[in-house]
Amino acid sequence: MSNSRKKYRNLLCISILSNNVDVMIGWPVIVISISFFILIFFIHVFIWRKLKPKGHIKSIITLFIFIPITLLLLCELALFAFSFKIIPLVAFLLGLILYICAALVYILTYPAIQAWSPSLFIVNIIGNSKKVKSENEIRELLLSEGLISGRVDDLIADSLVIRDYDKNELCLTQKGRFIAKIFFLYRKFLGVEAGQG
Amino acid sequence: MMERNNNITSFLFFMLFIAVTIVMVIFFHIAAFRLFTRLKKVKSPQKFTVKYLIAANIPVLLFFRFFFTREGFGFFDFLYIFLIFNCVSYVYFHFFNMSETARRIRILAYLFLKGGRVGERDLYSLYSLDELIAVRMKRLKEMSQIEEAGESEYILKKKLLFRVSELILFFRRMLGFSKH
Repeated sequence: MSNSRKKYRNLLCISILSNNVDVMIGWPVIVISISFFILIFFIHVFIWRKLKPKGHIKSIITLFIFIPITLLLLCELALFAFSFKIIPLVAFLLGLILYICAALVYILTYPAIQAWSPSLFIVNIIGNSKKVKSENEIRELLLSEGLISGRVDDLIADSLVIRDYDKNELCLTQKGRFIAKIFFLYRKFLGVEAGQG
Repeated sequence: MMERNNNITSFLFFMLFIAVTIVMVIFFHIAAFRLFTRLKKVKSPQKFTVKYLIAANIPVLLFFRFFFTREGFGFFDFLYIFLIFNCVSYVYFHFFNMSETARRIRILAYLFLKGGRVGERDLYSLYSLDELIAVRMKRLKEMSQIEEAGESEYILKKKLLFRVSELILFFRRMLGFSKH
């Protein structure tokens, strides 16, 4: 290998993969991060069964992102301050990033769990039925599940929309406008119209 | 101290590489989606995106294997990159899917297009149950998950989404959203 290429590769070839830091992405980083995610998940199940929070998205982001990250950073800072080298900083950060990724996966899946995605509901009805399902039967079941109602209430609970009772109108909040804009721009980039819901 | 600084720099390089890779994957997805939509080759946008993201694993993992090849590139390094990339891909897929199918996003988009304020009745007229079912049936057929077995009658064609729905139902029960 030429010297310049070796130099270039060494620049990119991070210590994680170099001989002295082999341990950094060892199994503990992966296992501890995933275990920590599972622990937070069980706390989430316990809280949700007992309390049923109203602002779902807000609560779930707080529980899975803000609280654990704050606690972990405080712990790491405390360890750093007292010069305890139980967990190397890079291993800690790698683990933290993996945890955040796992938490984001769950946070993005959560709306489908909470609001029973209609598509999944339909597939579930058809799949669990022993005979052919007609569109009318599906319609009745969807009505009984109340799949349409409730989404506006979710948006209100998450402060994305507010209800003006005097005029019987719904208004976007700044936060709601921001999210709508992101999706609007994204669809524009994709070159397609707004989704059909 | 020197060693710590080196490690942090290396870590930042590593993360920068992951971030750049993810941005590239998203960028190419947008480009490919635009191209194939224009060529009318996209039957189901979701199916297209899932296939694209699965296929993206190959160049991404090869890319990391090439740039970070050293004798020490072990199973856990590979697994770590695989996990991070696929978690982010899953998040991106959900973002894409939400832009396409989510009711809440559609309500937000509708409000946004109407200047941020609409009558509640207007909003509910946007969502007729017939339209909601028709759009979803079409989408599920395009994804080959269900098929027609007569006039307006349906059976399951593939089990993938059905299994996902069973998993979602399991989580709903666990969290106390569904009692049966």
